[in-house]
Amino acid sequence: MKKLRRTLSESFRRVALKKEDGGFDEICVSKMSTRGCQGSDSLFRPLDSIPEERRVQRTQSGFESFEKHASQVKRVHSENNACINASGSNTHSESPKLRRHSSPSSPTSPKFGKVDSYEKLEKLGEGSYATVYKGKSKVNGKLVALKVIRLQEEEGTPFTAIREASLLKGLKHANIVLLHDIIHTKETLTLVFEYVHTDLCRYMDKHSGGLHPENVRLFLFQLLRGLSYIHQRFILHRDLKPQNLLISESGELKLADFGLARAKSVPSHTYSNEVVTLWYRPPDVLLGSTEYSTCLDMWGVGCIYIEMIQGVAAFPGMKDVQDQLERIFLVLGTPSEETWPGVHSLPHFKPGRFPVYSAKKLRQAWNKLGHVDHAEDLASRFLQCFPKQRVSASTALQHDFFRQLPDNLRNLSDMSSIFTVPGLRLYPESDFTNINTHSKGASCGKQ
Amino acid sequence: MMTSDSGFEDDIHTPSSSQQRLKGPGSRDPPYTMTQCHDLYSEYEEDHFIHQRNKQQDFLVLNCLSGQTQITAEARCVLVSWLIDLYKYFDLTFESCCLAVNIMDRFLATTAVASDCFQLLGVTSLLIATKYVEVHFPGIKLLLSFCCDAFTREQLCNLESLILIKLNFRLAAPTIAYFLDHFVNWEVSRIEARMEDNIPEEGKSWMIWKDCEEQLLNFERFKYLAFKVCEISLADYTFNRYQPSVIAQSALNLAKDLLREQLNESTIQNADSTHTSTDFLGDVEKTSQSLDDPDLIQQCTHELGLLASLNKELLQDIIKL
Repeated sequence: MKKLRRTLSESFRRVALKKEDGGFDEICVSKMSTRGCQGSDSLFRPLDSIPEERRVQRTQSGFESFEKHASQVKRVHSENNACINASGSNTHSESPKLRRHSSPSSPTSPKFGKVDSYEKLEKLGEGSYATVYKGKSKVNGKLVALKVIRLQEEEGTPFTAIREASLLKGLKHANIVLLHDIIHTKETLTLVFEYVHTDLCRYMDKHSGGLHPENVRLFLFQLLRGLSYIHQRFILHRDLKPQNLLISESGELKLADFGLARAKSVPSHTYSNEVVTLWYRPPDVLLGSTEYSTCLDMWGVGCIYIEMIQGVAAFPGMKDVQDQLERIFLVLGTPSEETWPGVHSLPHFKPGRFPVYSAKKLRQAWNKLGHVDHAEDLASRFLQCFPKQRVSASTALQHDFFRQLPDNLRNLSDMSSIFTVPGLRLYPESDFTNINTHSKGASCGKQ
Repeated sequence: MMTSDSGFEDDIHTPSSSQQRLKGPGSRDPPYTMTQCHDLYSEYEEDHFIHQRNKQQDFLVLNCLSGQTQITAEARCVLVSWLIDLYKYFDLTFESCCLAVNIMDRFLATTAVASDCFQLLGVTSLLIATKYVEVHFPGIKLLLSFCCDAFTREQLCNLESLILIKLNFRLAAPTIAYFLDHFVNWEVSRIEARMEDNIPEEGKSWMIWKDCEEQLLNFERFKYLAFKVCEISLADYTFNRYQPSVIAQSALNLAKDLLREQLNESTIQNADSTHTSTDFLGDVEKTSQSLDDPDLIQQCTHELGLLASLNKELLQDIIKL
């Protein structure tokens, strides 16, 4: 370990002299890139092609951008140095002179990527690493949500912010919250989102006792549409819950909060089983599986769907993982190797840990599933303990439950809202009278 | 290392048993582990592979050092070698390591870096990669201590921001780790298919199982050797011009060649060996897997071969396991 601790800057200077003081498990690749290899001259592009006069050793440290013109280099250079060496000055409040370069025609007009392009209105919420404000764009007057992430905390830029920004940048879909802009200042990173006025959790709180079945259909369709889009791009949301589904006044549903999302890559050990709030966490993850893919999100869809219809959370575990699993098995039956090949080899599965329940009809657990055609069948396709049996988002969109929706809904372009199709609208929830069974205190798995 | 004494016969055809078996030997530190052998080569995986393969061009940086005045290929080699030791020390995935090098290279293509800041760029790239990839990532304080505290936390955080801005938060680069994993999984599914085809007849079974076991053992060596070659290639600037899928494919080809050579030698001494234990050493080029230019792969394989011969002492143990 001691051998690993070293400053390399000296070695970079001495590198021409070859042969390090060595010690640690050194990979002698440099031999190949230089002269050590016989016959390599013809094979390898000479790497030391930088002209001698350019190899001056600068004593000044720093990072010099290639993108700026020669005349600008000096100032940018010092700016970057200040940035790296943190001389304390606010390096990002740009001088008017610099702005003129980026916007020659109108030096004072607000630009994307600048803090002063947005007017901060009231605070909407506060998270562990970010504060969300309502804001207004000075460019086009539109409302925005400003997620202000504090930097310079112990560990630099929060990993959730890095993932959210990098994943959302590439996603443009009517059912995914739109990331307008990223603003970086010395102290904060601000993600500028489109403003959406509520979320499904608050919506269900407001209209307790189960939503209007037609609205459940519209919300679920949009949720599946958004998920199908990200799953096609090999991105998993991994933290589906009603709070993360934004609802606009017209009834548009938008997936938000991609802080725990991930692009699929090498399958092993890249996911924590800490993801997904307990209530919406699938049994395979609860049993310690780390090998999940898009079927992880589909379990959450099933839970949210039940909650919209029934007005209560599908599996509102009160205590721990054990309790959560028992609630699931009570309805779906305790899995066996026959119903779920491989379940016995999951890390947290122990024979006898769970009472043996038999599977029930879903409408016995959630009676309102019986009130809507095809609703129960669709629910049973999401709520499968064996991950591979869960329906995919794109297949679910073809389910009979959605048959009465207009056909052209399936041919919409990515950025078109379903409400651009004539005749579709959100139904007033008051039309549908319910008994109030939705307990506010425990709503939406706020844990 | 292989626990084959009990139960092997009973469940050789069930995926879970071969899964454990493949994890067994040579597992000293292969950072990619063989998981879910069954179902690996599903349609979804294939689609994902195509997606990653098409995407990699967007993240490839050619001649990232051409604008640097102080950073040479040799310096990059020293730094990447150190990063490789670091990611192993922290027990991170190979994926993180590959992504860190990609982040660093793409940043180098945008910004001139002074030699005394180069190490800071290395650890900061590693930090960003681990934040993106890992469940647990090393703390800044610890990372800085590995640079002998030559830099401050504030410098690192500032550089982190600068890198993210310069790269425009584009971090989803397909890595050598991904392609290696994909190709290896594909090979596993081939072996498994062959095992299923060869359901042994009564009496002959023992021989076949012995072959299977031998084959899996050889497969572990093959896998680990290819991984090692990929790892070394990260540090060599020469391989910067190849796409990750080409390097992964070439490393597997090279590993096959090296093992085939060695096995041929041992076959002369030991006539007992049967060809079945090395079935997987057959050429992959004939399959749909290889969508990359065969000439390019051949060239890359050849260059990796030279690299491997220069780093013989690192690979020797694996070949002659």
